[in-house]
Amino acid sequence: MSRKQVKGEYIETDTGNKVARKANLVGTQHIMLGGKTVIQAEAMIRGDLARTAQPASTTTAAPGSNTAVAIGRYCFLSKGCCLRPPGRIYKGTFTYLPLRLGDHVFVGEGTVVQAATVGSHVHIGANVVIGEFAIIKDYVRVLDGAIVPPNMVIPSFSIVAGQPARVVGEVPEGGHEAFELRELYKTVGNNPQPLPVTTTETVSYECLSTKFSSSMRTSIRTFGGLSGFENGQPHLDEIPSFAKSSV
Amino acid sequence: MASSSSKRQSVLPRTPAGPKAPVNFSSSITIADSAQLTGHHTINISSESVVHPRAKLDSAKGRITIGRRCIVHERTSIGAASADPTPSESRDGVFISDYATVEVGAVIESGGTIIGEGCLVGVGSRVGKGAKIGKHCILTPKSVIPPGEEVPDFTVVYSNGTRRMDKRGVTDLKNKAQARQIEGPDGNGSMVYVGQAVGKVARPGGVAVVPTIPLPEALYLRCLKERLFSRNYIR
Repeated sequence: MSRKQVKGEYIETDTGNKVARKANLVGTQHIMLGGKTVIQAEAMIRGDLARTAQPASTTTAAPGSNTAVAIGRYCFLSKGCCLRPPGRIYKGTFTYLPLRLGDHVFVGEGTVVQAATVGSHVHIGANVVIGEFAIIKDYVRVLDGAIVPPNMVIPSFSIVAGQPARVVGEVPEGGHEAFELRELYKTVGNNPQPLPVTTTETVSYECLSTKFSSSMRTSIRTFGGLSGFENGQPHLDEIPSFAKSSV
Repeated sequence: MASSSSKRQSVLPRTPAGPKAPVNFSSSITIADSAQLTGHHTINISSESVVHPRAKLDSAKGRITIGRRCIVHERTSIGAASADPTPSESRDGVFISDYATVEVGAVIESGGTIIGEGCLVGVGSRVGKGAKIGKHCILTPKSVIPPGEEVPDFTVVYSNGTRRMDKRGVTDLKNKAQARQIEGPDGNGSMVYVGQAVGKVARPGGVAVVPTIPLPEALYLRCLKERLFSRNYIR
C-alpha cells in the first residue's frame, strides 16, 4: 500500500495496460489483457461470468484456463462500455463462453459487447449493442448506434450500421491504416500526449467517422432498393431472445 | 498479463449511500453486493431471481416488485424517475412478473409500470412510466416504450418501434431455459446466493451456493433445441 505513488487517473501496469481507477472490472482473475490496452472510467467487464471448469479441476487448472474475457494488444475501451461473455445452454447446462477481442479493437462509449469473437483492427462506435455470439472478423467498422443481432457474422472489411445492423459498405482500399490504435493509446493515461497532428496516415477520429459515414450514405443509396434498407423493412425481424441460451 | 497489478483485488466499490430501501427478499435469490437498493418503499424480490452488479433499484417513487426467476442484468435502472410529472394512480412503482429478463442498461421508469411474465427487455431499452407490457413480449435492444403505453401479449418490438406478434408458442421452453440459466453452476457469475442471510450479502468472489433443484427437463430442452434449429430466425 505504501508503495502506491501519486494517484493518477489510471493504473498503468508493467505490460502497458492503462486501467482507469473508476473502471468496473468484476472477476479480474478471469480477464486477460494483452498489454497496451486502455480501459477508461466506468467501463465494465464481467469477468465473473466465466465458465466454471469441471468441478474437480477448478483448483488444479492452469490460471487463465477459464478466461471469461480475453483482450489483445492496443485495445481501447471507452467510457461506459460493457463487455460481457455470452451465455447459452450447452450440453444441458447453462454456461458462459469466453469473449475474445483481437488487437487494436476500439469500443466506443456506452457500447455493450456480448460477442463471441471480435477480430483485430475492429472499430466499434458509441452506443452500439453487439448481440450474443456475434462474430466480427478483422477490419470491421461498426458505426454508432448499430444493433448487431445475436449470432450475426460480420465479414472482414465491412462497414455495418442500423437497427438491426447489416453491412452497409466496405472499408475502402488503404483505409485499414486508420484502424491502428497505437497513437490513440499514447493520448490517454497519467501523462497523456497529444495526438500528433496529421500526416495522412494518422487521421484523427473525427475525420474518420465523417469519412466513413459519408461512404456509408453512398452505399445505402446504392443498395437501398435491393436491401430494403430505406423503406424500413428489415430482414431480421427479431432477436431470438432465447436462442442464445438454448441452441 | 493480468488485468491489473496483483496489488489490486477485484473489489467493487461499496454502494453509494442513499436512503436504504426496506427489502423483502426471498431466501433463494442471488444478488450482487454492488447492486444499489435505494428509496423508502419496499423492494420485493421473489424466489430464485438474480440481480447483477450495478443494477439500480430505486423505490423512491413506489414499491418495486420482482417476480420469481427474473434476471436483472447490470446497470439497469428499475424505478427510475420519469420526465413526466403527472402523478400516477398506482401505488406500485414497478411490477416485474415472473420469468422476466431485464438486460444490460435498460431503464424501467417508476409509476405503475408493469412488465409481464416472461418478457425480455433488451439492452438499453427504456420503458416509460405506467407502461404495461403484456406477457412474453420481447423488446429488442434500444427499444423505447412511451409512458402509459399498453403493449399486448406476445408482442415483439424491434427495429426502432416496429411491432409484430410472436407466434412461436415456445413460452414454456423459454421459461425452462431461464430456469436453467439461473440454476446452472455458472449462470450467475461470482454472485452469491443469499440463502438465509437476508440483507447481509456476501462479496463477489465468494463461493456461489446455488440451490440444486433436480431438473427432469432434459427432454424438453432437446425439443427446444430442435425447434430452434428448424426455424430460421435470421433471415
